[in-house]
Order: sequence, then structure tokens, then C-alpha cells
Amino acid sequence: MQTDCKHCRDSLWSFVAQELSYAETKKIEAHLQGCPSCREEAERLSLLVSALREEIPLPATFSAELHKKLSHAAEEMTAEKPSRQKLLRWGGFKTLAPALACLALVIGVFSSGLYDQWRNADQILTEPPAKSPAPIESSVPTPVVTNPTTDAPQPATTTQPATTTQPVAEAPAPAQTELAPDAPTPAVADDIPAPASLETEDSPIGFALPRQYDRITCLTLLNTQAFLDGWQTASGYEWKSYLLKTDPRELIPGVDADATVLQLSPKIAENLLSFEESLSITQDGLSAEKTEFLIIITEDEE
Amino acid sequence: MLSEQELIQSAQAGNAVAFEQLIADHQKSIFSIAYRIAGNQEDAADMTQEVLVKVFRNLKNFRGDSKFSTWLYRVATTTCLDEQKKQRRHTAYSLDEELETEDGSLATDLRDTGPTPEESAERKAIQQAIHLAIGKLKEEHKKVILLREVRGLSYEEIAKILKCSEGTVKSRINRARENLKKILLQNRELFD
Repeated sequence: MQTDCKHCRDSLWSFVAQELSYAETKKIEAHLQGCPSCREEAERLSLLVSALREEIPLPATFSAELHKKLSHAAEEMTAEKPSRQKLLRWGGFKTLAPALACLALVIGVFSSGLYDQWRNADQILTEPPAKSPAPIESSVPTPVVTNPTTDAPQPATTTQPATTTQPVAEAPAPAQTELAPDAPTPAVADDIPAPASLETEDSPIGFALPRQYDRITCLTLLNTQAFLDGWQTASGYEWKSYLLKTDPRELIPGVDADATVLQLSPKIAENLLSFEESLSITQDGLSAEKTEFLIIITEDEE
Repeated sequence: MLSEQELIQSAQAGNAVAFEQLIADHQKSIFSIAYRIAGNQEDAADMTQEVLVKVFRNLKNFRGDSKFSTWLYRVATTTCLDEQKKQRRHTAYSLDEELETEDGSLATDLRDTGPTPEESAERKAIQQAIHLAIGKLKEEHKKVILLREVRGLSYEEIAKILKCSEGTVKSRINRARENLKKILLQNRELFD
């Protein structure tokens, strides 16, 4: 009898929801006839299930309010169109949005006086002596670009169209750079090639990260669901990194410890609404006042 | 009467009226989901409208790889649950906490939509308990409960929305139901 009750209770929701086969349904019905306790449970569950399924009526003003909001959104979108066309000459919003976010990061770094500190600490992240990063000639704003020829960091610029140029193609064979003689050993694995999907102009992301982030681009995101759960709680996000053992916000000097970390891979970027949307969701969902972002491009694991 | 594809194209071009027609069949379901998350009609209405405006703004990103409804419910559940997280920072609820009005009844929203005041209050109390209980579930369980129990979607459709296997959906639904039962049926008076 007890086994029948256990089996009945385990199947009760499916029974109430009419998900069971004919034979199983008859078994449960027969048991309920002879078991008051399970019958009571079935009645409560039935109430619960029908409450869950109850369609809640829309408020009377809903349609009118929605229409007003959609009309307003349509007007805004129309007003954005000329700027959008201008934007498209620069490579489109998907190209520029990360750039704009990087710009926010740059402004934060410069204005907080951490630039010098970052510059000095940047050597931690540069290539080992045998290789050096290709100079990033893309006009996507970069916090610091270490030019191997001049050895002087170049300030970020935003004046040129955001088209990736030759350095992206050169990424697989980075140029030489020199670490300061007493620079600490980079806390990263050696010889990490940039993910191939970042190196082509067809990349849905459409821009190349500054070289010193290339190692961090190899942080591996396990799946879309982890991403959707992860970036919503950035402070608690567990870094699934096989290369870096540290939260990159700690690793990159000058980045606010509370900076919102946005991870994207080309595949995920395709499936999300848009980079813009994810950015706004991140802002809304985490903290409206946060403007500093650390954008990390990763590859999906196979 | 325009087809769904024609409505999508027109809405992608910025036609708000076309978009309203496109989502006409879905807005009640999204509202029902939002209601279980938000706990009251006013917040649920705001949440639903926010979802729909976001969908309208980002419709250009819908490529037609999946059904429109699959894409819509993916966006809707994610956005509604994001909103819940924002709300939870400002509001603390407990299933044990008595949310009493001046006359002592257990409800936060006594707007009368039922046939009698007593039935209305009882229904509202159950819905409020459901809202609080769903709020206690894990993220992945919330989604399957909302899509299966509230929206009534099949395992196959849910699997497409959540981008996981049907087996995973079934397993999550079983666990979510068990957890929801445990939380809700403790309050036996509500369901007697």
C-alpha cells in the first residue's frame, strides 16, 4: 500500500495535468478511490495546477498604454535612423557598441588617475620576449596599445571608422615586444593564439580587442545558459578559465573591481538580441549607475 | 489579413501597429507569466509592456531561424526574470510573512476580479502564494514552470526556447514541481 501511495504521489502532478497514459491514469484513479490521503493531496494539487494555469485578464488600460509606448519607441527608432546610417559607415552599432563601452572604460581609467599605474603594470599581460603584439591600428578605442617600435603607449582615439585592418590578420603571428628586464612573469599560459573567429572581418563582433586582452579572450564560456545566468550576477560569476585563475577585473590594472564584465562569444552574440540589448540588460539588471565595463570575447567550447 | 511573416517584416521596419497585431495572440500569455513573477497586476502590466517594447526595438535581430513565438518567449522569460531580480533588491517577501491589509485578509492586491469577494480574496491569496513560491525557485526551475505550467508549452517547444534537450526539460520540470509542491502545500489551509 505504501509503495502505491509513493508511486501515486510521485505521479500525482502528471495525473492532475493529464499527462499520463491511459493505463497509468486508470491505476492512479483506482488508488485514489481507496486512499483518502492521496485523494486530498490530489485535490490540493488540482487547485494549485489550475491556479497556475489561470489566465489573468489584462488590465483595461493595457492596450492603450502599450500602444503609446510602442509609438514612442517607433518615433525614437525613426529619429535614430539618420544617425544609424552614419553609424553604419563606421561599421555599425555591433562594431561600435563594444568600442563605446571600451571608451567608457578608458575615460574611467584616465580620469581616475590610474593610467600610469596601468601602464606600468601592463607589462604583466604582454607577450613573453619571443613574441610581441601586433600594433592595433584599428580605430576601435583601446585603453593602451603597446607599440613595439616606439615602446610608447598610444592614447585611445575614436575619430576613425571602426574597421579592423591589418593587425587583425597579423594576430596569428604577433610581432615582438620586450618586457622590462625585471618585469614579473605573465600570469598566463604561453602561446595562446587569438580565437580564429575574431580575426576575420566576417566576425559577428567585427572588431579586434586590444592585444593585451588577447589572453583573456581565451577564457572559455561553457554554454549559453551559463552565460545568461553568469552575467546577471557578475560578482558571483565563477570563472571557467583554464588559463587564468583570477577574475580578470583583478588582473587588469585600473579596472574597477566592480566593473560589469560582459562576456561574449560570436555564437552567443548571434543568439542574444543584440549587443546593444545585452549591454542594456546588463546595465539594467545589475546596477544602473555602473558605467564601467570589461568586455571579454571568448570562444564557445565545442 | 497579413501573414505572420509580413507582420514581422513590417514591424521590423518600425511599424508599431503591425507589431501590435503580431503579438496580439501572445500578450495575454506573457502577462500571465509576468503576473506570476511580479505578484500584482500593475507591476505585471509594466513588466509585460517593457518586454514587448524591448522585443519591438530588437525585432531586427530576429532572423527567422526559429519560430517567432520561440524567440518571443525566450526574450520574455529572460526579461521578466531580470525585472524580478531588480524588484527583489527593493522588496523582501517571505512566504511566512503575513501580508495583511487593514481588514486582516491575506493579500497584497485586493482588486476584485472574481465572482464573489470571498472567492476573489481566496484566488488572490493563492496567486500571491504562487508568486512567492516561484520566487524561491532556482532560475532554471522558474523558467520551466512558467513555460510549462503557466504558458502550457510542450516539452519540445520549451527545449527550443531554453536551448536544451527535452530530457533536460522533463527532468527540470519534475524537480521544479516537487519543489513548488513542497513550498506551497505546506500552507494547506490555502488549498483546502
